[in-house]
Amino acid sequence: MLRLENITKKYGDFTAVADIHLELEQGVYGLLSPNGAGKTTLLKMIATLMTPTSGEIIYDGKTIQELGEHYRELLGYMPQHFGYYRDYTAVRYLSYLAALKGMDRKTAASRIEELLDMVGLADVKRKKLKTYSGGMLQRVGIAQAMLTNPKILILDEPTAGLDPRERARFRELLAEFAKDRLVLYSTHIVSDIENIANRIIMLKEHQLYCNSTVEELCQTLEGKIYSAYMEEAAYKEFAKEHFVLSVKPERNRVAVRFVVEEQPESIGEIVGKDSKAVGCMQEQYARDWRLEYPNLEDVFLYIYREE
Amino acid sequence: MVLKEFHKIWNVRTLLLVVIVGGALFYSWVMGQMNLKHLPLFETVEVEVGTELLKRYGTQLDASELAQIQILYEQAEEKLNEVALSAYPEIRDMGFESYQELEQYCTAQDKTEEELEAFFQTKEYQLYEKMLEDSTVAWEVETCTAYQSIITKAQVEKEIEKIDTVSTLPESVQMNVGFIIQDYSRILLLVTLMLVMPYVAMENRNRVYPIAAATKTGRRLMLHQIKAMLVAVLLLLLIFNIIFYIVYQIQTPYTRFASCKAIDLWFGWTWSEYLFIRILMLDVWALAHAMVVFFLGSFCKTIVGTVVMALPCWGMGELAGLYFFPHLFTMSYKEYGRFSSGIFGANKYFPVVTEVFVLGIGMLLLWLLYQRRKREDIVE
Repeated sequence: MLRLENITKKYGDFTAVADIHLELEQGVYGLLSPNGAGKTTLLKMIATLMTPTSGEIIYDGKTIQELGEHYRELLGYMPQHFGYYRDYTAVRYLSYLAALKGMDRKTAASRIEELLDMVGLADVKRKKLKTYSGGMLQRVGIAQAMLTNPKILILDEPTAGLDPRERARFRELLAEFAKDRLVLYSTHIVSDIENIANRIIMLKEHQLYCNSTVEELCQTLEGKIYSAYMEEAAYKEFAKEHFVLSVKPERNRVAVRFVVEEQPESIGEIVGKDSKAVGCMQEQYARDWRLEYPNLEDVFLYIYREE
Repeated sequence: MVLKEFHKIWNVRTLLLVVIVGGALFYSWVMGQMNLKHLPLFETVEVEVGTELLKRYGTQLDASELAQIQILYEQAEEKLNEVALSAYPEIRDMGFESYQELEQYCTAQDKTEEELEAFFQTKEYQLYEKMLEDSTVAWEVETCTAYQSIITKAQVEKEIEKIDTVSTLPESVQMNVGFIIQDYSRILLLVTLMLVMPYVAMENRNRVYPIAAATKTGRRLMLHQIKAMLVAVLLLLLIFNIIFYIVYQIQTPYTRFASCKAIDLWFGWTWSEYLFIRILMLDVWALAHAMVVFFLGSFCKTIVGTVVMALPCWGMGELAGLYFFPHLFTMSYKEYGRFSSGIFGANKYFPVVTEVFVLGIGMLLLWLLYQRRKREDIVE
C-alpha cells in the first residue's frame, strides 16, 4: 500500500530521519520512540508536509509527490499541535476543513454530526473552540482527521491531553475505524497502542530500529524480566547493577521490576551470581522473586535505556 | 472556499473598525480640504473667475480670447483702484496716485532687514496691511491675481510647450484636488491595511495551514485567501469610491470644470477623465498594497511581526501612491527636467522609467519569495 524507500531528512548537518525503509499495509502501526527520535518528521513526510532529502514514498506504485491531490484525498492527518480558529464553533471548523477536503456540503454536514457524536462533543458543537478544554480540542482534531473516512490516517500524539476514559474511548473508536485502512499512530504512551497496534515501528537514533508485532517484541525479553520485593536501602544498591523497569513503594519495602540480561536457571543463580545483591536481599522476601512475562512498556524502556 | 475566506475577512468586528476609522478620517477631511467654506480666498476667487471664463469662452482659451483676458485684467485693476481709493481716500493724502502705486511701494525688494523692521511701522505699510485684511479690497486683489496667473500660464505654455491655447481649469483647483487625492490615497491604504492585517494576523496566530496542506485542496488555500482578500478590498474600495464621488459632487465647486482639458496631462484627457483614471489607479494601487501586506505578512509568525512588517509596507505604499501616480501623469520638461541628469540627459520619460523599473524589481522579488516559499517544508 505505502512504501518508504530509504527516506532521509536532513536539516543542514543534522539528520532528523536516516535511511528508513518500510512497507506498510492495512492495519494499525504504532510509531513508538522517545521524543526527538524523528517520529513527527517521518509522519510529516508521509503527510506530504515535508519533502525527504533523499528517498521516495510510494503509494500504489507512484510517488506521493506525483500523486499530489489524489494522494492527499486519501489522507487524514492530525498533527501534534494543530491549528484552529478560536472563534469558530466545532461545526464551523469541521465544515471549513471538510470544504478543504473537497467534501460536498450535505455529506459533510451529516459526517460532522456523526463524528461529533462519536467523539462525545455533540452537546457542545455550537460552542466556540476557545471555550474548549485541551482534551475537547484534541477530540476535534481526531474528528477532522477522520472526516473523509481516509484510507490512510496519520495521528501524531492524538491522545495527549485526553483523560483515561477518553483514551479508552478513542482506542475503541480507532479499532472500529482501522478496518481496511492504514493507520499510523505516533505516541510515546505505550499503553495507547499496545492493544490496538498490529505492528510497532520503533525509531532509535533517527533510524528504523524495528518493525514487529507486539508479540515479537515481547519475545525478545522473554525470560529476562523479573520482579521482587526489597527494602529501600537494598534497592538503592541493587539499582546500581541492574536495569530497573519500574519501582513501586509498598509500606516498608519496594516492588521492583527489572531486567536480567542472561537468562538464569533459577532465582538462586541470580542471587548467587550477584554477591552485592545477595547481601542486600531480604531472605524473607526471596519467595516473592518471580519471572514476569514482558509487556511492550518493558521492551520500550529496555530499548531506550540509554536515552 | 473563497466565500468561506471572505467571511473571515468581512466580519462584523473588522468591518466596524474599518468603517469607524475610515469614516472618521473621511469626515475630518470632508469638513476641511474638500469643503467649499474652508477654501482660501485666492482659490474661491480663482474658481469664480474660472467659472465666469468657462461660461464666456468654454473649456479652452485661444489666442484671441487670451487678448480679451488681458483687457479683463486691466479692468480688474481699475476696479481694484476704484474700490481701494473710495474706501481708503488717505492713499492720495500719502502722495500715491493709485492702489498699485502704494502696493509697489510696500512690496519693493530694496530694503535690508533692519530697514524693514522700521518700514513695517510706517503709516503707509500699516494702511496697505489694513486694506489686505479688508475683504472687499482683498477680493479685488485676488481677482487681479487670478487674471494675471492665466496670462502668465499662457506665456509659459507658449514658450515651453509651444501651445497657443490655455485650459480654463484654474491651477489652484488642480493643485487642491491633487492634495485631496493624496489624502484619499492615504485613507484607502489605511483602511486596506486595517482590513487585511487582522486577517493575516489571525491566520498566522491560528496556524491552520499545516493541517490544510495535508488536505485535497489545501495547497490552494493561499490562492483562495488572496482571491477572497481582493474581493473584500475591492468591495471596500467601491464603498469608499461611492462616498468620495458623492462628497466630491456635493461639496466642491470643481465639478463645473469636468470637461476642461487638464493642464500638463497626457492624452489630452479632460479633468473628469483624469480624476476617474487617478481614482481607478489608486484602487489598483490599494489592491496591490493589500497583496503585498498579505504576502509579506504570511511570512511573519507573530501578530507583532505582522504589524511591524505591515507599517513600513503602508509607509512605502503611501509614498509610492502619493508620488508615483502624480509623476506618471504630469510629465513635462518644466517639472522633471531637474531630475534628469548623467547618461540619461534631459529625458522627460526618465522618472516614469525609473519608477516602473523599481516597481518591476519589487514584483520580481515578491515572485521569487513566493517560489521559494512553495519549495519550503510546511512547518507547524
